[in-house]
Amino acid sequence: MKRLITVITCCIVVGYIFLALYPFAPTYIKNSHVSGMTNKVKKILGLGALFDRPNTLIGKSATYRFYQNGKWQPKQQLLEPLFEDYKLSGNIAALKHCRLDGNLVWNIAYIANLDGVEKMRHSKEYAEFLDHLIYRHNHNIKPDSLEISYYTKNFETDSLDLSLTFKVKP
Amino acid sequence: MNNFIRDILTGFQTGIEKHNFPDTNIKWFKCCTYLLLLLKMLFIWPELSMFYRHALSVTSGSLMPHELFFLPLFKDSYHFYWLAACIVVGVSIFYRRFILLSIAVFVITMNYFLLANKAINTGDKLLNFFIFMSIFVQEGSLKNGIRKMINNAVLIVLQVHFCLLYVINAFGKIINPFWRDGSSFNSIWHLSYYANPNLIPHWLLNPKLYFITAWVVIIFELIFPVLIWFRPFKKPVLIAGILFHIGIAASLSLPDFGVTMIIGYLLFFDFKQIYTKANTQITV
Repeated sequence: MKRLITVITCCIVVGYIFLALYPFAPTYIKNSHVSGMTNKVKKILGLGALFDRPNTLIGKSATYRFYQNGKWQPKQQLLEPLFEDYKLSGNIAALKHCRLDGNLVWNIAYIANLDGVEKMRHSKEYAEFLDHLIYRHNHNIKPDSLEISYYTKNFETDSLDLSLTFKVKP
Repeated sequence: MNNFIRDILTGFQTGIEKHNFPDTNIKWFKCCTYLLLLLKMLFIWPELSMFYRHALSVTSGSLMPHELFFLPLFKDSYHFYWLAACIVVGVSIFYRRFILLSIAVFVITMNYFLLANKAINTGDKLLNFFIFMSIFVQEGSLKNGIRKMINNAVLIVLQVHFCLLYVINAFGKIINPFWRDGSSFNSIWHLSYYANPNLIPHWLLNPKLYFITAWVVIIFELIFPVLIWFRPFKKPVLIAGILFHIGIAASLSLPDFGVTMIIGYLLFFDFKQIYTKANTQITV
């Protein structure tokens, strides 16, 4: 029994050493099916590096507005009020909500930039985002129309660059 | 070749058997992981209905223990389920020796994971892993017994995992030019909805300090997994780590990640030294 525990522990430690050295592995290993498996294991175990990809270092922002009762409502910031709530009162639920919204809007912006707005509108990510937006940000009332704008932040000029905007009937 | 492998395994087995993990470390590690989970569950409660509804749009639920919560059966009573789950986690803080309770806590942490699926971070994953491994760790095991060896093996894996987290982070940064020249911090300190400008000193915002900060982070992540195994360096490295993670938690709005990492330090902390010091002071 003791030998079995030793063998299992030894295998796990060897696996860890492989994961640690993986960034320096030759390209042919990185291009093989080992890559997909390694990334999956790292993702499950939370072994990724923080802020190591250019994408994670881009500031993002989103606004929305609804057309209902015969007029366009004022534009609203999607993430700002939630993050402000966390900053001012330490509300962790608001921070988690901010992360959820950020993730949902990032997913649809990514698909729209890659495949176009029309394809994005038929994706499950868009359905997920829309369902959440209407439920949590419009008291579960389906608007006649809605507009989403997605921006990336330019740190040098402190300006917001419009990355995506669209109007749709939900 | 066979003899060589056998010798290695024998050496490794002796290492596992001789590795000394006091019960105090296990007790505090389990207490803190469960307590953090409980706090996270309570903190998320104001938005529970929103997260539950969103989770239902992604997960349909099944008879698997961790997906039971999302079955239509609980659709109208998820608040009661969550209350019961909080009570179970609360009870498990005091009754850590019951394996069934440890398993129940793992199921609950998976519920939380699925509930907040698009809002989770590395801290949530790490806490999940800690709670999963805690199932196999028991306080009060007998010396030289199988139970003790399982404890030691699991805790060694946790320590290796923790050290590896730093190594992977350091390597991931070193291979990126924007970390080597420090420009990553220009972005990080301005990152919307992460960086908290109220808590970032203005003097940190200059290219020279971006470079220094980036390399301090990389060097810390490289030396922690090495120095933590040497007794004279243990205390300073842990203090530096605690400050490092408090800094990240506050300035980059990652509070749960910071606290989880600090809980991980309990695996390395020398409680014996503190108790000996306290006893000496009482005797004097």
